[in-house]
Amino acid sequence: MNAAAALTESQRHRRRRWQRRREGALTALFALAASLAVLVTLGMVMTLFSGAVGFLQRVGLVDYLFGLVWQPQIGMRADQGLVEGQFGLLPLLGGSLLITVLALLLAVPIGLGAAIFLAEYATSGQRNRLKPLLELLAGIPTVVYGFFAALVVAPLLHYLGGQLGIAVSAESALACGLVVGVMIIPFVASMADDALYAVPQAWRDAAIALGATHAEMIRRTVLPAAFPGLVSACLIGFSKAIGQTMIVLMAGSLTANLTFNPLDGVSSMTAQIITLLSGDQEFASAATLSAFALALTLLILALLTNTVGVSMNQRWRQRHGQN
Amino acid sequence: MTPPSDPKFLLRNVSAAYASKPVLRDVSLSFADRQISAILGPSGCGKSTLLRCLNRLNDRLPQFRLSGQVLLDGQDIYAPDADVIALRRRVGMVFQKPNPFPKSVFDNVAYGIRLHNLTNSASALADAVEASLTDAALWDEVKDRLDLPAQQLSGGQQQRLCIARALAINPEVILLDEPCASLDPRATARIEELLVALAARYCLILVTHSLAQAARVAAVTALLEEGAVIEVNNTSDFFTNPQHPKTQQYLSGG
Amino acid sequence: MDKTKGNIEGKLVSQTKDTAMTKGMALSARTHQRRLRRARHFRALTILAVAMALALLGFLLTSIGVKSWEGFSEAQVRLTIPLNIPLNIPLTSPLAVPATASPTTPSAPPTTTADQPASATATPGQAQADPFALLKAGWQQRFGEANSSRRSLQTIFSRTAEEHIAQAQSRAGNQPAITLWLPANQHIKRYLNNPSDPGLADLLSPHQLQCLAELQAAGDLRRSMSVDFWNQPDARSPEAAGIAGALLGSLMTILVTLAAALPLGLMAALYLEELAPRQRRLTRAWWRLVEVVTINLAATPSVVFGLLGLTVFLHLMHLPRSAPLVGGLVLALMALPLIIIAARNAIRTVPVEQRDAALALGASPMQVTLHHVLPAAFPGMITGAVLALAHVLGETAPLMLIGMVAFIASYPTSWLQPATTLPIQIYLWATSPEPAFASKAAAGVVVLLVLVLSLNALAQTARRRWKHRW
Ligand SMILES: Nc1ncnc2c1ncn2[C@@H]1O[C@H](COP(=O)(O)OP(=O)(O)O)[C@@H](O)[C@H]1O
Ligand SMILES: [Mg+2]
Repeated sequence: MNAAAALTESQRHRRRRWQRRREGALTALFALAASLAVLVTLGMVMTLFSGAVGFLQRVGLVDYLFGLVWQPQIGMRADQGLVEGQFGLLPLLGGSLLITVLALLLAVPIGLGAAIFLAEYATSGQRNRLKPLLELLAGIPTVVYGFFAALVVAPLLHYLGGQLGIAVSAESALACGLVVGVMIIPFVASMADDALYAVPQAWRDAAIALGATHAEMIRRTVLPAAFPGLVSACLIGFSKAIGQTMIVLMAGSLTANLTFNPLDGVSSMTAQIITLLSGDQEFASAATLSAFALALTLLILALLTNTVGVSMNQRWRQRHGQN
Repeated sequence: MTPPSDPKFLLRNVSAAYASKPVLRDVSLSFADRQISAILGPSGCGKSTLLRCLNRLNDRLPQFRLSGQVLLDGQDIYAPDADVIALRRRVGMVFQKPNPFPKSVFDNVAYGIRLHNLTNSASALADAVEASLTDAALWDEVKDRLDLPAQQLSGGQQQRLCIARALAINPEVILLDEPCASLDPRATARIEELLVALAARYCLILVTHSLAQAARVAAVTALLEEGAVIEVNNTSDFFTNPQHPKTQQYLSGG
Repeated sequence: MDKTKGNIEGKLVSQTKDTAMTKGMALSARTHQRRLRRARHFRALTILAVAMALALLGFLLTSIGVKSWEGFSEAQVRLTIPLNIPLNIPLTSPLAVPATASPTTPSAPPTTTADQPASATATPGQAQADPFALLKAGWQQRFGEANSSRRSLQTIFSRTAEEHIAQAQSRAGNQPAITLWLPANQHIKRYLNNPSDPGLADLLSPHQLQCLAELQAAGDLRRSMSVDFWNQPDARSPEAAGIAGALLGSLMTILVTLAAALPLGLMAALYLEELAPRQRRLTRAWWRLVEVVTINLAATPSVVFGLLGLTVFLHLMHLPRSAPLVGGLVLALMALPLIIIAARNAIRTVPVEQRDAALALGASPMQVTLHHVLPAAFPGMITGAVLALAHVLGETAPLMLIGMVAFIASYPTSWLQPATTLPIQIYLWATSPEPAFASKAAAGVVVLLVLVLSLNALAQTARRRWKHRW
């Protein structure tokens, strides 16, 4: 090395110390950014808990969890005062679950069927065209589905019901459920397809070699092997469906009805949170705080199903030696 | 010349494990300066792991455990106050698969020089790059296209580029992990020639699974099996007069 | 496709027969036929599922597309405007402040009124006459004094007609008169749809209807693409309402999200993959926790983020409601885990040999990260970030909780001023009691879909293009 151009040892040493200090600061910054997720979660949990605790001090836990009427009185006029309403979770939970079940009834058969077609029957050309379409579908914003539910599907069902002489609410749970179902079809199909695709080819070959028809091979070999993955697809679909807001807010009923009739109007936990909190409101009223309790309940439900779904999927994949 | 009694690298009872899987078992070895030492062994016996202990490349693997002593010029490189960066400046490494950076030929060689602030003038940098490429016997082939992306060189050229890159920061030791494993015979022959030339100035530690290669270039050869040293000897004795039955078996193609 | 299937089925037939024969069992042809039929049915079912999914998608898109046509279009009246009228007409601009008495106030409680920011530009002094006076003069020249009052003209023209006149005026130079297609009130659209609509009698006077018939007979009444939809903010009357305010609001919001979430997300992902110390059990547990938490944040319902934003940004930090800054931060919280997860996947595709090469040359972990991992993973990281942004661009619920449901008829001029975003605008229009807004909402949906889906498609194409780098 050219001695004249080379830096002296002490110069180099100084540069290195300086660089180390800079790197240390940068690393700390990176670590902080990485830890932000914990901070956000902590903030979320604290927010929800403090709101929910404040709410439960006004309305007992039993009244909340097992109450049959949800009627938060949001004092419209000043002279009404703060009338405390009734805060029974069941009508909302029932509404959320009813809509979710209806959604799954639509999305699971179609999603699984489409996944089986994609993974087992489709040529690679068809696969390459349908898969991006699925991903694209998954990108449609919920407000679009909300519009579709409120201004197309719900009026259509109402009209059809009228023609057939069946009383269908203009804000029926059926309309919400169907549209939520359409929304989660791509998620279910995409994840189910992944699960089916991961089943080793050798197992298929073995089944075919034993004389099974293609359909028998799928039903007896592939589906059982992929079963945990398929269940996990459905669970994650459930988690998405129950956490979705705009469809029920736009197409559902404003009042919470405790009913299992899909032709009636129901509300959901998410829609109620928005109804309770959008606009200027007294922050410490029971009605406002109840939104936090609802959000906490919702979060627990959504994360529980999602976690079970994800871990099932992971464990199953590990057992099959993929990651 | 360093007398043979004063080795460049000295390993004392080194054992290593990934998680609960032991890979090196009580390895004691010494590597002399200015010569090629070869390490032979079946694949999976821990040759790469052994090399990676010498420049502490496994430091950041969460599950990696190491015990024993590794001394470079008598200094424990795993001492708490040891400087890893300085160690890696002194101990270069060339890998099994050529791994040039996705940069130009020039930038690949200059990378280490810039990294360690070895020079602050552009002309000195260019001189250093030329010197390294010449030492690596690559200069004549690439001198007209130094800004060609390195990935467009042939496999053998890429590997010599990696050697030049290691040479550029003036190391004292060069670890070579099966440097010819992914090359054709012609490229292999060129690299071997190069290694013999470099042996006059550096301590070269060559891992290989090719008996012939060890026999051609190495002064000393060691056999590793299941993480343990079976036999070490100077190369001619190792091949003509193996002591250990396992060595005999290995040499006879077992 | 069919070839493949026939092939497989054909092979099965022979295989099954062989198996059966070697075992010496006579396989009855009927059982065999039944199995094959079942196989065909099963396959048909899966095709049916795909067809249903596609049909539902098609239904969704066509129904929205059909409805959106009304929203993109407007009725227009051709009128010759004299520019050389005497300037003795009072310079008040009555159309500019009309909506105050409008009975159809949208249900959203908090409102901001600054309905007509552009009218100020209409009269830059000098010889330029008040655009409303010009409109009035034009109408009077054609139809006489009757029905040329402010009220009457309001029922014929859109509020934005004045702006069109002012613009034409500044372009006209010394011409004595100009002929313009002026945007008309939504009643005129109803008239165009069905001139004998009985509801129109309540809205328009008989003389006005007569004028319209005259205009239509002369070919001076048409339906055309609305320009106002693209360059106006929201308004109380559907014919004057546009998407530009919401687009600007969305842009500002998403810029805040980008600025906040992208650097943080990339830093977090790089740290978790490359730098986080995992040698000790405690640090390993901590970073494992960070991972779990990130995954769960990505699966958290979006309303919950809205509640967090409401509490932290509005109630604790006292930031203003409805502001693009706050909205952008809430969306950043949502985008952050998505970006982190995508970026980590991109980082994992960088071959370990690259890291080894740099480390062996004496590069520090941070140098390895910045010199080698970041550039190599960058395309994948950006792809993931674009997908995340496209996802949060369509978010509505969390923004509603921080107050972004107000009716806002002006452009946001700062990060702290009330703004509305595209999804919110769609929600407001879709839930408006006035039916003409529903078609505006459909048009807004088309705009949003085009934006979000093209971002998605862009990211996916880029991902495929960049896939095989190593
Ligand atoms: N990063 C690692 N984590 C866990 N095990 C490893 C890792 N690297 C190598 N091993 C294991 O250590 C053993 C020795 O590997 P290696 O040193 O690469 O062998 P060689 O180079 O002789 O083929 C092998 O069984 C291998 O599976
Ligand atoms: Mg190896």
